[in-house]
Amino acid sequence: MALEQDQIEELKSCYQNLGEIPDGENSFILISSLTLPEGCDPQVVDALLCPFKRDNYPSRLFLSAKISHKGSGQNWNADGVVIAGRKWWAVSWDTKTPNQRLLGMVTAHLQAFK
Amino acid sequence: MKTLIKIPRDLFEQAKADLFRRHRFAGERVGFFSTRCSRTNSLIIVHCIAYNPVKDDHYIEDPTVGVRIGPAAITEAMTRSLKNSVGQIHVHWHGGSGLPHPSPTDTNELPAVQRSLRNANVDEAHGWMVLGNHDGWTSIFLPGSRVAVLESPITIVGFPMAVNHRESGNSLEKLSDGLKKIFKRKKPDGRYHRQTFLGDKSEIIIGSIKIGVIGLGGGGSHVTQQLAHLGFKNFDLFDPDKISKSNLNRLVGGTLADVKNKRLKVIIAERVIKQLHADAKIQCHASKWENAAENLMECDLVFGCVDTFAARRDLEAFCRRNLIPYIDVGMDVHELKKGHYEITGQVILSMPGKPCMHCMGFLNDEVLGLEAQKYGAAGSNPQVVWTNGILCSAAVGIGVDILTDWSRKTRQPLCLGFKGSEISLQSDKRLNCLQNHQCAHYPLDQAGDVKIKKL
Repeated sequence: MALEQDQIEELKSCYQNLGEIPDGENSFILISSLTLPEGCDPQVVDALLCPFKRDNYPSRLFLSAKISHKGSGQNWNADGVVIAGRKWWAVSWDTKTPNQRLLGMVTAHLQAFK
Repeated sequence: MKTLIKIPRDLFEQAKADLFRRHRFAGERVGFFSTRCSRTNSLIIVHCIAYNPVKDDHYIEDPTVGVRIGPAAITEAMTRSLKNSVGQIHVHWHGGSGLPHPSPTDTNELPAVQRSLRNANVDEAHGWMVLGNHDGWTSIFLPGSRVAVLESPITIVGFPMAVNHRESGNSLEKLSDGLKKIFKRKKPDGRYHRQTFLGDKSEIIIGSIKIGVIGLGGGGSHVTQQLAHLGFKNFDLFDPDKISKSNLNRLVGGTLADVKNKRLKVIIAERVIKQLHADAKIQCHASKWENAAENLMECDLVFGCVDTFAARRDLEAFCRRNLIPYIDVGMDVHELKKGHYEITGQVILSMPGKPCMHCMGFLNDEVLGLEAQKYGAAGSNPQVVWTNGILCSAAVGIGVDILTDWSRKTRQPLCLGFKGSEISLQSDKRLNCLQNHQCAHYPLDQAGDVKIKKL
C-alpha cells in the first residue's frame, strides 16, 4: 500500500528526518533521531513506524534501543527483531485505533512512554 | 574482500531464453542483469534481481563480430541504473558445462561498457558476464571501486541450485589459475561410495556448501548429524541455550555429562560433526542469529529449527533479502480432548522468488497475533525424538535434492504436513494453487541491503 503524500507532509511537520523502506507491498517509515518523552533512557533513538497490521496490532513503533522508562507500556515483545537489516525493540502497545493517520499513529505509540 | 554473485534460477532461465532467440542480423544476443548488493565485513554479494533484454533495434550490423550493440542500449542501461538505484551487468551466452571463457573481442571491448556503467552510478555494482549452462565468467566493479574483480563465484539460486565456489581473482592473469582450481578434482576415498547416485559432483558440492542451522535442540541436532554423515563440513550454528536434563529425550548427541557440565547446544553439535570430520569448518554462535546475521548471510542454505512463528517470519525475511533458500522444520503436540493427543509438524522449503510461508498460508496475522499476545513465548511444549527425526530427515532430503538434483523432480517450493497418529508426511494441496504464483511479500527487487528512500 502506497504512503499518502499529505500524511507524509503532516508527519514531516513534526519529524523532519523521514525515510521510506519498502517491505513487500507495504512500506515502513524510518524516523531518524526521534526524541522520546521525558524520563526515557535513552531519549533519542531511531524509530521504525510500521503503519500496517503486524502481530495483530493495527500499527507498531519499533525503536533502535531498549528503553528504560516509567510510562504505561512496560511490556515488550520485540527485542532484537531484525527488520530491514537492522535490530529493533518494541513495547506491546495496542493503539486500538485502525485507519489512523501516520502522525496519529506515532503520537499514540509515544503514549506508552508517558 | 570476497565477492559472490547470485542469480535466481528463473532469471537465469529467462536470460538464457532471451539470449537464444535469433536476431535478424546479429549472431548472438545481449542483455543486462539489474543488481543490488549485500555487504558483510568480508563479503559483497551481488544479487541479480531482474533481467533486461536489449531491444532488437539497438543492435548494430557489424560482420566482424558476433554481436554489437549501439549507444542506445548502453544509455538505456545507464538510465535504468540511475533511475532504479541498481547496478547493471552486461550478459551474453557462450554455453558449455564448465566455466565459460571470455573471447578476445569480449576482453577488448566490454571493459569500456563496464566503465560507462560505473560512471553513470558509482554506488552500484556493474560489469559484464559470460554465461555457461551452470556457471559464468564475470568482471565486476564493486560499488565505489575502480578495480575490476574477475571470476567471482556464481550461485544460481533455485531448482536446482548451482553453487560454484572458487576464489575470485583480481587480474586477467589469474584467469588460468582460477580455471585450474575449478577442474582440480579430489580422488574418491570410498567413504561416500554408497551415495554416488547423488551425482558425480555431489561429493564436491556437499563438501563446499556452507550451511546455517538455527536452533540446535531436538530438530537442529538431527539436521546437523545427518548433514555431517552426508559429507557437509561447513557450518554456522546458532543457539544461545545450554542443554538441560529435559532435552535428553531428543537432543541427538547430548549426554548426561553435557547436562552436568551445562554445555552449550552448539558445542554438542560441533562435537558430533567433528567426530565425523576433523577438518570441518564450524562457527559456533552461542547467541540468537540476529547477533551474528553477517555470518548467516554467507550461508548457501539455511535450516530453521525454531520455536515460534515470529522467529520463522524473521528468518524467512532475512533469507529472502539475501537470496538464500530456507528450510523450516517444526512440530507441535496438541491435546484434542483430555488425555488424547495429536502431533502435527511441517517441513517447508522457501525458495527466493517463489511462494513464501505467507503465500502458503502457514504464516498469517492470526497465528502471529496470537503468539504476540503471549509475548512470543513457546513455553515448554511437548517434543519427542521420532517426530523430530522424521521431519528433519525429510528436511535434509529436500536440501540434498535441491543441491544435487539427484531426483530431478524437485522444481517447486514444498510444504509437507506431518500427522503423528498416522506417521504420515504429505504435501499440502494448497501449493497446487500456487504453481505460477508471484510472491508479493518478498519481491526480488527488494533483495540486498535496504534502500532507504528519503521522504
